[in-house]
Amino acid sequence: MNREAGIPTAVETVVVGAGIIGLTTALHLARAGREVLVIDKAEPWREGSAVNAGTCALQNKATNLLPAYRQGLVEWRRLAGELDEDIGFVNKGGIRVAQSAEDVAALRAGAADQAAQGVQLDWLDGNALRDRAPWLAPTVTAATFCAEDSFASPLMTGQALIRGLRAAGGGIAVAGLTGQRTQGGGYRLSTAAGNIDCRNVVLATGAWTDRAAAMFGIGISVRLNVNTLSVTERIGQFMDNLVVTHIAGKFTLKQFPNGSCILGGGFQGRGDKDSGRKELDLDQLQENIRFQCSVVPQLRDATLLRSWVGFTAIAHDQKPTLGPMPGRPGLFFAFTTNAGFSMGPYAGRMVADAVLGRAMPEIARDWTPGRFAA
Amino acid sequence: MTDEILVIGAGPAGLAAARTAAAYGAKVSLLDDNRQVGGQYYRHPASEVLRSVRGDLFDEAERGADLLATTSDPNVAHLPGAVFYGFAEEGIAAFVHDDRLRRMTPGATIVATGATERPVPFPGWTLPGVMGAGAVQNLLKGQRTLPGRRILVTGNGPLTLLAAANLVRCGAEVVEVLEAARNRPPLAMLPRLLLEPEMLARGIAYRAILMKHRVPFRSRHVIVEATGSGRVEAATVAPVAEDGTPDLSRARALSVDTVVAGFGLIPASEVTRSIGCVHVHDPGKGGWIPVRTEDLETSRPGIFAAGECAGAAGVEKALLEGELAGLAAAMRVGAASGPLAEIHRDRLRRRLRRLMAFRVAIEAIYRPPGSLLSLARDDTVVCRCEEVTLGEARRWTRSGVTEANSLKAITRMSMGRCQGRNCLPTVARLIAAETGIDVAEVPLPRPRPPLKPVGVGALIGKD
Amino acid sequence: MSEDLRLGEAGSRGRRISLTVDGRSVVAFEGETVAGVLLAIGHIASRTSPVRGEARGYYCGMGQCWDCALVIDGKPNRRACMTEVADGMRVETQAGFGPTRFG
Repeated sequence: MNREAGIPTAVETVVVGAGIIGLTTALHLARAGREVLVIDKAEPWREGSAVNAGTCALQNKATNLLPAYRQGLVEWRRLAGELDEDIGFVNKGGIRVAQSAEDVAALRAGAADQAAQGVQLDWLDGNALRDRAPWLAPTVTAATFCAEDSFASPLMTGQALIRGLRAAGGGIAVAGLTGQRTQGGGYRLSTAAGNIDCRNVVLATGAWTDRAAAMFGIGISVRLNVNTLSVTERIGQFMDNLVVTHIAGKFTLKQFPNGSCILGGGFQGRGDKDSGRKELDLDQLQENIRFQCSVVPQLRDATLLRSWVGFTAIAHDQKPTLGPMPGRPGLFFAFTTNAGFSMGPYAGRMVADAVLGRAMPEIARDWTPGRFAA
Repeated sequence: MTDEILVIGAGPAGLAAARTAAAYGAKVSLLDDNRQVGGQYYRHPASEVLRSVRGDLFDEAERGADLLATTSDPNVAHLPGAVFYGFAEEGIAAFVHDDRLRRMTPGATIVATGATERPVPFPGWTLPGVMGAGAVQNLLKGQRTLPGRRILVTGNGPLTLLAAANLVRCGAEVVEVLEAARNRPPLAMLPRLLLEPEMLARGIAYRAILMKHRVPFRSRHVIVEATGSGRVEAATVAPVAEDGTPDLSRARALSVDTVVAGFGLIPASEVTRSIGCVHVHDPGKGGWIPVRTEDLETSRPGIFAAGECAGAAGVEKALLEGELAGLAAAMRVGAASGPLAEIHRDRLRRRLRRLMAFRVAIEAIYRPPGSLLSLARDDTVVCRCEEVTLGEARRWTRSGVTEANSLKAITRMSMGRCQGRNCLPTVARLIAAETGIDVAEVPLPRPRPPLKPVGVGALIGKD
Repeated sequence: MSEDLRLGEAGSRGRRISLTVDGRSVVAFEGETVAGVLLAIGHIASRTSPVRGEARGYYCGMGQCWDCALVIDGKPNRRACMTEVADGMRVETQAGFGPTRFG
């Protein structure tokens, strides 16, 4: 990543945050011929979008947000086709497993809820389950299969988006936002790299959305999650590139086409978003890996290469905050709450449309930043 | 915080540190991922009988028997086969031992993780039959076995000469020994060389062994390529031209089945880098090394670094630094104090200063010519794990990707099982070359735990 | 024993151990590593690489490069240089990622 020699003093739209939502918002604006600059406190694509597990699935999502996650998958597919570079998007479906009798009952109930939302699920147990996934532990007694579940490579996606945005004429700069004031029908943003005047500002600030909103005098509270992830060495393909999730939660597992397995699920490390400190909690890491091995015993024989933690943020009402801020012309929010990777490209599409003056879709009515108006 | 001292690495520096700290009464935990202590220098066969095979040649372990016996000191808890996981939480050190993840909160930690071979990619360097100088030493010392039948030794630095001399003494057919540097001490360095006459004499003895067996030793020569189908069958060698690149117009082919390529060592500074200690880039010491006080404490209080991991400069320096770090750590946890400890410390400091003055001359003699990166071609694999070629990496640096983290994300270089040990130095050299900056200005990704790969099963314990 | 690259006389190397390498019966000595045995008998390619299909073998000799990794007792990706031989051990050259239990 080359640092920009300097940042422009004026630009039509500034997107704050170079993660999946910020970069896709900017990409759509740049492709629509608009002047756009993405700023971030550090090198782009370093936080949640870069260090998550890459899951783009439906089965592990809250039922009330399913339609949006579904649109997220549509946009993921589109991104994979539109960007010049491979983003490692794989759609081989996903399997959601149940181990205890309680799990099985919950899986059945959850599947009914999802089916009611139009999600096509196959129920698997007994021999059908063994045939489909012989690598699952015998303790896994039932599972549902969803053909829509997918994953993408966070690493590849970031690099492809950064270069895709530049090719479309958009800019990216390292310039942490420190404050703002209204100025001539727009905003004057103060950043660590100088002031920028703009008509529109999009806050795609993920876990830092409360901090950014506060600079605009808006109170949003988010809870920080510090998710633990691990990656194994590359081993022979054995999971058919399925996304594995667990009805009991705290479980995502997939094997990338290159052979490495990513173990996630949201076991908590420790971190502080103001200092940037991130630490693994060894007990949580062990619990994470023990749980994974209880479902896929073959993982025990693999070698673990790296573990790390990444931030995600949950809104107090567990709803996204997307679109224009009523009464504050030119100010937009682009925050999805949790699972930002799955829904991210759809959020980017909606917010870019809003910046372009189009109405937000019906689905997003509930998610208006207006609910935080003072 | 406890008064216990953790020593990571049981090579010369780690053993000397453990022995010294224990002698002052400190409780020491000594861990190493090898089952045997001694590191690469004191490597010896696991079996007593095997140890006697050519025991006349490989007497390091015997000479160091006293040091190796540190493990039986009642103040030392030796944890063989323990993989240091990392400092995962403030002050808590974690390691995998006996298929268990264990942790401790040491009052002081001595990092003595040694060095790894400097990766210098050349066409054919991934062929079976090409191996490092350390690999050959391990085979001779630890296995009492030769690596092949017709051997070319190429590289840079005193260890490569030592490996060549050992091969010859074991009766191997070494066809040529190539040293990339000019290998002549600048006149101004002669007084420094005489500071350590014993070490100087040893270097001269290795050359004498080659001479006695009529093995040609050529300075300012280097390998150009190793070739063969599935294994080394031949090598091309050439003199090094004035600009530091091989002079291909004078290249020669050699029929060999083994190429020993040892281009010096780089400090294994992953532990200190992982916890954010301040480091400097010192080419003469092999690369990035932690900044230390006179008593070898890093910028993180209570974390000491000793031996090759804080500057590759030979076993004598490792032993001295280990002793000094062991003493300083014992003082820190309150086990050592008073005038005798201070006299001991001052003596070690003086001895180290003289040794380092001698090393300056050795560094001058072996200063490598030009950019060794120029040996690789576009189709040469530079990341052995992920199989990324120089051409592929360069395509990205030329399109503006000039930051190690981004290059890593795109190409997967350094994301494999060696955790970047065999390619990050190349990544740094490439970025430096393409952007016209010094390698010292190329920041490397911070190592993440586990600092060495660990088995998933071992991390969570047995069923 | 005169065929191989071991130093010293066969009788001087201690207790014999019997293992198989790609199905062939091979004699080794107590305390040797798998890498030591393979090099001694000239079996220098441990594996073929998963992407380019190139032969790889003993390179760093100290457990860091993983190029000598192969299949030991059915388990892939075991480092020859870090594994001591044992009676009855089955050593196999690894192709690519090696076998998976369900592959």
